[in-house]
Amino acid sequence: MTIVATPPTPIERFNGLAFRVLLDCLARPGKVGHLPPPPFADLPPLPDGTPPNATAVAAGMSLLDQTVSFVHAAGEEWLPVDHPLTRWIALRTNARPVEAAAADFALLHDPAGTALFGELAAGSLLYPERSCTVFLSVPAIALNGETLRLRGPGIATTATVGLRGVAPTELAAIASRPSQFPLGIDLFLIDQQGRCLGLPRTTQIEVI
Amino acid sequence: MSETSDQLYNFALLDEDAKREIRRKLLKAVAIPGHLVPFASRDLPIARGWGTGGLQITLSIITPDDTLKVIDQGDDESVNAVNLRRLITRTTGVATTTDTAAATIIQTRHRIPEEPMRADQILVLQVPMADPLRWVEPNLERATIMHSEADYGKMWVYMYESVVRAGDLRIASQYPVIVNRRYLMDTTPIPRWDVPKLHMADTLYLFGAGREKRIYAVPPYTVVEPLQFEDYPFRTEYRPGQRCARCGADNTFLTEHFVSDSNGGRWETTCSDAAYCAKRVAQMEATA
Repeated sequence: MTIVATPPTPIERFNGLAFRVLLDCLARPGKVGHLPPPPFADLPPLPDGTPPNATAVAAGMSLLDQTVSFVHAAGEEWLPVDHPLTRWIALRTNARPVEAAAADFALLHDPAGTALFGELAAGSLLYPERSCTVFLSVPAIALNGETLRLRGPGIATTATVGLRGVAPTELAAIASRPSQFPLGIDLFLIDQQGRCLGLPRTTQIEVI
Repeated sequence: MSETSDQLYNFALLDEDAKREIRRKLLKAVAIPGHLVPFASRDLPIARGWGTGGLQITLSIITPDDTLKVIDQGDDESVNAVNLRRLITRTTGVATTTDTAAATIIQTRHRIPEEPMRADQILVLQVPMADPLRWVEPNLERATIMHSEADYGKMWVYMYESVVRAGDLRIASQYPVIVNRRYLMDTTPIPRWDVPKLHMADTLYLFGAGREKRIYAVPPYTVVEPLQFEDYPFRTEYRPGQRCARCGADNTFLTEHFVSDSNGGRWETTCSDAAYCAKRVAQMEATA
């Protein structure tokens, strides 16, 4: 049988493989997925001079195009439209940088961004899918840790996950994120090694 | 064909923007189990109503490493399954199989395979009618409001009227279920036999309605309850003593077909899941 299609480019391949990890992680909260290595490394630094988590940015960018909008934050501050990293992402995806309440996607470059959850769109009862999808960079997701206890669809009984380098207030913000089913925001936690944890709005989170 | 015409299409046919849109909608569908998420539903070289919703989902999630199985009414060899499989493999080059256990993605019309599916597999269902409220509320805007308010009283009246008219819950397929104790969902024309497989499953179920431009999902380990009454419970099609004429299985969904012979012919029941039936026959022959 003749194959009549081009093989995927490196970025398309990353997008496809990353999506399967994201889908699997969101369908099975508590399962730690491994994202493929990001297809680029030349990201502009954050305001404090540190590089952003390239895997988390690439995973977020894999879903961005000209029909959606995004916002991103370092610490507890939203980064402005003219920040080099904002322009870098917008140039490569055509996604519109907007204010937080209107954003389809939010990239939070460190756990302090959890303080901003309340500003993001949680959808409406008519359109609960018009809510923000958040990519939150965390220092480390531990494979057999016990930081959060999870319950809900996608979990047979309960699941526990370990998070390193996330302050108690930030853990509390994750546990009490906007999630009044069917409304809420959906989270992906991604660490420096490309490990990924999905926390959809349906997951009940308890800090152990 | 020249070298250039061999590479006429993007990997998996759909352009990357179309895939990205469907991927975004799939994530929301998983996050809101049972909720109908609108999507753009692109034109395809297959007419709407012939599995384009499921096809678009498969094309959006498939990677070069996947192993694909496509079934139509449980059968790998029927026209719809063969055509969809050929389109997907010619535009991706992925491996295909008829063995449920060997597949990573299974696209299906009107059946869930008999063999239990695992956590590392995804079942993509082709959906003809996405909204179960269509039966009681043809106006889409009003039905959307009813979903948003979990206002399913009319549906319960419909179920009650089914009992009053027919003496039982006479819904052969598209049996309505409540997902995650919140959203009323159409199970697509799978037989009632398959409905319990949606409840607390190991597998992720993705539903695509191309004509109606809707995507929805049932994540694994999600509560899926068929609508039923205490005195008229939900029942599958199972008849005690039923058997497949080919493999002898007494615990599968059967289809009936007419077999001609010298005595004028007779009705025969065989497994609807043809690959599962063939696997059992092969096993029996190997041990015999």
